[in-house]
Amino acid sequence: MHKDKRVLLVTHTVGLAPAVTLGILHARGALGADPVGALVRASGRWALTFLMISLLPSAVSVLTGWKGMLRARRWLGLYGFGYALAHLALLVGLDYAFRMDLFWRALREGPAMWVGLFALALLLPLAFTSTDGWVRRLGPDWKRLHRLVYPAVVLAIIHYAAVFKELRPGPVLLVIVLVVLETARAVAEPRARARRRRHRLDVKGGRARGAMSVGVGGSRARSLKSPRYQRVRMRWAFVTSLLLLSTLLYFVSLETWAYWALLLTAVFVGWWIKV
Amino acid sequence: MVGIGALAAGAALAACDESLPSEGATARETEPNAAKPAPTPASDELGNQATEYSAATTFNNYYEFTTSKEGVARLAYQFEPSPWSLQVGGLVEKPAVFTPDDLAAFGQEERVYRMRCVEGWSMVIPWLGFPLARLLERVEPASEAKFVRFETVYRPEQMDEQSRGRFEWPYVEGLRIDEARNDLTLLASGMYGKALPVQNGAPVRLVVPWKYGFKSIKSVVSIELVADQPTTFWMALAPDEYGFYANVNPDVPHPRWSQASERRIGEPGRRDTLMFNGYADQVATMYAGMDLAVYY
Ligand code: HEM
Repeated sequence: MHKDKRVLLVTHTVGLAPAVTLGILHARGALGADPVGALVRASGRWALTFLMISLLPSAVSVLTGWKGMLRARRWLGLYGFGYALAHLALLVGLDYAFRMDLFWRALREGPAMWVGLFALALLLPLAFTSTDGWVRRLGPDWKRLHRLVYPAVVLAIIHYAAVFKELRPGPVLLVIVLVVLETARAVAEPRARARRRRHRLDVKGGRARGAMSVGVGGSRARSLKSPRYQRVRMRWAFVTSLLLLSTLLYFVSLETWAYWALLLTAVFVGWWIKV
Repeated sequence: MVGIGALAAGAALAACDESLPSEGATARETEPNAAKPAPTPASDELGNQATEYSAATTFNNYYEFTTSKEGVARLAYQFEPSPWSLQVGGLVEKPAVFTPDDLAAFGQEERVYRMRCVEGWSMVIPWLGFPLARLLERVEPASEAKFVRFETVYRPEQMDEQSRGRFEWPYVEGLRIDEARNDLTLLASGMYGKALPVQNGAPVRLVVPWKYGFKSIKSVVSIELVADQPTTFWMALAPDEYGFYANVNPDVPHPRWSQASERRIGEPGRRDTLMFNGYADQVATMYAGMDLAVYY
């Protein structure tokens, strides 16, 4: 299978697993005494989880130079948006059963809900411009626009914290993960930029692109030693980030073995992706 | 064990109008007499059907065990509700210690009450108990006693969350003395015609149906009559969000969410939340002239 297809296969498996698992659990009546609440809560947690995961590819690429995960980034963000939409739809359709008078009042009187809605509103233009066509059309502006995902995630974490009676460990943990991730990125950013600049200079300096990819010549060899070393490092980046994320998922959600089976499969498939 | 058996026997009496079974232990399991028609599922005075027993015993808050509503019942097996003693003291003429047997002697009646959680969901539960007023009468509160302070048992070795440092234990609740004497205020030791399950506050708990659920303190070990308003568990945690009164009120939102509607467990859709949870006729006069947005 082509490597792009493999990345997408893993992404969609991971992306759809929660929905499938929740669907099965709901059909079996296994969501407990409050299935509607359970569905609203689970979709909200998955929305936030995928939004957090969608921040990983660019951080990993800055940290390790590996760009493989970037192929999954837009889909991960879209899954986050999709679960957030489902979250709102379940709330309005199942919980409020379209009693819009009650829903508007809940919205008016509930800052916890405003913050969620604000996060969702920020994601709307991002989801809309997530196609290849828009990436091309917007050029460098695409990247700038899509930085909106950071305020959206921050608002979503605030929303997550706000729906509980007291401060929970979940949102605190997510803030810590976010701070660690972004600090690591900020520290690595100058080196990554230097790497890119060197690469551009090499190309400008008349070195043929072909020469670089055939041999191990050019800047690639200087910054990353051997290709074998590079491959191992990339695989570790992939697996470590997935492990980090599973820890995240463990704290943030309470899905069953079915979900874990799918996730572990994805990790193993991921290990064997040829990068 | 005997104490609970006796309570349940009283429960069976109240629920099924049967004669008292000879042995306490079997009374817990006693089914309605086959000769009589099975009792229709209880409903409250507004015609609301009681919530499924399985829902009421697997989905509830009991922070001493865990903050997960689905998790409480799973941890409840660690808790040993007997023997038990309830201390009643403070500003009273006749302080006393009550065992479950002593409490059963106050009589047991079934009361079907709506239970509204501050989180926005609700249930309808048939309790077995007696008005707290009766117990207060027995200990004879002094005239300086203006408030009643309740305390839950502290047993970190049996209650998981108590063994961690996140909250200030033990759980404390309080009522104004007129609220405590209101006929609706129940000291319950059973529900659905049976002894109270551990997860629902065995062996004895308070039920104050016009207030948010957290006021209905569980597994009570101490009732103290005091002169000053007690600081409750939730007031101590977040005074701007949880007040002493905590009356169910659709027009006073929680600072972060609306209280105008509720999800009734086991029912599709939403219900409008009722003022004082639908008990305004019995309780509104106690708050005449008070600004309920200030005394939330
Ligand atoms: C990016 C968008 C959003 C994200 C990431 C998100 C995430 C979450 C999370 C993580 C929870 C807590 C789940 C738990 O209990 O463990 C939650 C709960 C909740 N969210 Fe959202 N949310 C979003 C948008 C919204 C919107 C637009 C609304 C409504 C207008 C909303 C309403 C709620 C409500 C009412 C709850 C509490 C559910 C309950 O406890 O029964 N959310 N959300």
